[in-house]
Amino acid sequence: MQMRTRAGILLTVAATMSAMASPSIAAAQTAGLRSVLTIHVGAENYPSNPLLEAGIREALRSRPDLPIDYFAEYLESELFPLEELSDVFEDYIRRKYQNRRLDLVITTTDVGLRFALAHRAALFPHAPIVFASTAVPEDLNRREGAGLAGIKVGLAYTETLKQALALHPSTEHVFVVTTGSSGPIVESIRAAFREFWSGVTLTFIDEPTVPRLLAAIKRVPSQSLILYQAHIQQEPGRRMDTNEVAPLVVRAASVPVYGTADIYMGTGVVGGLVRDTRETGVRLGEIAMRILTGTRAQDIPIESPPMVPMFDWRAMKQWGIAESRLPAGSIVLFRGPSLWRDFRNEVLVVLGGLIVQSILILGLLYQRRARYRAEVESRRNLALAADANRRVTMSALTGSIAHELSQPLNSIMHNAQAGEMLVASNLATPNTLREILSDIRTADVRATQIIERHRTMLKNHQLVKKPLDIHAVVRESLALVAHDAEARHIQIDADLPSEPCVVAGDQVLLQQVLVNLVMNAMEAMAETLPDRRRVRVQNEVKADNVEVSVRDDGTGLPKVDGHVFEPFVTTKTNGIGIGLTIAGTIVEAHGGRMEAHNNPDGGATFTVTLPRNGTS
Amino acid sequence: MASPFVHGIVHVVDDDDMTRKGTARLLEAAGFETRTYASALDFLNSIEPHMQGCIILDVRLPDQNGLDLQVALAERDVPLPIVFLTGFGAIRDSVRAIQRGAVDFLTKPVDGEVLLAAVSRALAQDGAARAARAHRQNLRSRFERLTPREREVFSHLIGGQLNKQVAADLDITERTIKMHRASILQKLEVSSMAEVARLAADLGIDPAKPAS
Repeated sequence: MQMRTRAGILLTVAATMSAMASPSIAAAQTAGLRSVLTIHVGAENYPSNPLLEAGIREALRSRPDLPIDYFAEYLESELFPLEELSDVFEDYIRRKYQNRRLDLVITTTDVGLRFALAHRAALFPHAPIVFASTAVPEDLNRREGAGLAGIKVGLAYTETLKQALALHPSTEHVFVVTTGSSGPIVESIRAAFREFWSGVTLTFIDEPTVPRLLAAIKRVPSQSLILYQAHIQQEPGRRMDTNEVAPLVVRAASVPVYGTADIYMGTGVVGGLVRDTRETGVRLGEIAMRILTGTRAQDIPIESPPMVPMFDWRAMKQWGIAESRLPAGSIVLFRGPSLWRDFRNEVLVVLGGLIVQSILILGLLYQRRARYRAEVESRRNLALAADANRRVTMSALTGSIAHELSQPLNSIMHNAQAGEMLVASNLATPNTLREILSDIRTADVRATQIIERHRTMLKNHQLVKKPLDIHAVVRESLALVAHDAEARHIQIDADLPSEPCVVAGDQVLLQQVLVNLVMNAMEAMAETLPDRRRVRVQNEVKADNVEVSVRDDGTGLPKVDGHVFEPFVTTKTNGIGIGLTIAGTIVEAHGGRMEAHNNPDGGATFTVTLPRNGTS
Repeated sequence: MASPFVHGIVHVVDDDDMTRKGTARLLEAAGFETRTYASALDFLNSIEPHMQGCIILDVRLPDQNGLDLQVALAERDVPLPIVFLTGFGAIRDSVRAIQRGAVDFLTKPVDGEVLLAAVSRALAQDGAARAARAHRQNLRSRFERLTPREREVFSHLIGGQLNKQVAADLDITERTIKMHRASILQKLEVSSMAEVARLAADLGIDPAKPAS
């Protein structure tokens, strides 16, 4: 069952309690300890949930004299719809909390509120409910049960659009990325359009998968802007959270992208009028505290926290938006260092003489130290970056685990079923059974190897050089990407000599290099015709070194001669070039070099040259 | 457990030793006769005329894509029904395979019961197709006993023309037509014109147009 729970934590141990609590509540409590349960919707790591949770906890902790037993439940809704599994979740919560009286329940979403209201009588009849919801039900009787209080969360999609269109006055088309092309969100945007912007076209982008979404984003013409509301994958496949999809959309788009939630800030969106999710949590916690200290829930007015205009300084620079044009009260995030430098120049102009000198001296000292620190940092970052890059790459290849495992699993299944049938019909001889069991074990060993191969690549890793056969490294790497290649209809040809060729190297890191190069080659061929998608990997053994080359028929390199391996110089329209930089650094750490050139007949070839170990 | 009511050999084409062996063992335990092949070429080389049974075919083979092999077999008039069994269930592939007449498109790991049910279906389909072919063959050999003149009369009669009309069209006497007609019924081993017409339809012979 996909139900995440977190053990309750005792925020404060009762020591001097009940003095502050109102008599009516204190009477109903044993030892003054209050139990509070928050019902989140979505996984514990769903982007907004940790923010809400942190806010709620902060507020509940504000009164050390009031001991609170706090619990949070995460009812997953995307794969296991809360509506459909409502009874299962009810049963789960009832059993889990059967020996506990819940004094207050917090819900963080519309779905959560509906669930709490529907199951209130069965689960927590004595608990007031504190909610955050976009649509407060009109027929809500706030006196019902133990009372209701909460906040109405605003939706400012049209206001965000208004703001964006004011900042980009020459916009002719607006594209809204959403899920479902009807519903209240879509309707409210449509209505606003009819009212305000008759000259601007409006298109909803509602694609079932990320690749199709990105393809649609790439087709967005200039003089457009994009409003990213949310993307929820509607077909089976690797699921990404909507905030993970946001940076991909930004990268694929050639026009500004605005977002509708604070969890999108930092993904590259220019900004938006958004609610502060953490602050919402704090407000929920504060209302809960008021109720726990004696205020009746229905006496607390339902308020709407203000929507905050937030902007990303880097995206503002990219699209040439001056800070003076932002609405009053805007929060500008991710300010870069150049602003500070501008400021310092002004200071220098104002100050003179000795003061200038001493400041310069201090400044130089500071810079030197900063540079030194940056160097130490960058060395450590490189090791971390290699680990992170490997993990990202490997997670893109998880599909291959399922694919590869399908063979041994199929074999195990059929052998076992054959065995059962033979036993059932009294045809099983000890010999056939022995063969069947032996085949099952062989298949199991294969499955274990597949899992081990992936697990090794996922672990953190320090460079350890050992003698190893470079051809075997290439073969293992190709096994890792085989499934991905097949899914992309790419043929991989390997030309590897049969004689082993020994180099001193690190198996995991060299595999990382190969996987990065092959993945890069495959990505470069996204626009190549399917029957021409071919990656050729060749190992050429020379007198004292070995050349591993990876050749593709893709778009070729726009910039060669040293620049390709710099971070973020990318040869692809989507994707950042960090993988190639890391590959280059790993090769250098092996005393080798990496080069790239465009082929005369199209595509690019990356060549890694590694020194051979000893004679052989 | 599904049991075979139909005869025929199950040809397992898969490059993965483990899969091939496991699947063949399952089929044999269920009472099917099997043959295994590690590549498309292996299988193509062992094709014989009048082969019976069905094929369990992997999509990804070292020398040829299973879907291409399906096309190649159709071109060579190898009518064996195909059950695809693949480690990589791409929707596009499955649609193509089924459109070209595959019995089923299964993704590994597949439950033995499901595979055996698909194989039973495939063998039943093969049996029915073979029976239909044999029937047609039998009709054809009977039809070939007719003389050229009788065939001419035959094609007029199956259009529902009366003896008199046929006689006028072919410029012979009605009496001669009656003689031909009796001979046709005898050679085709049928007793009525209705049966003659059905036989013509089974053989795909169109009636002659009356010369009006």
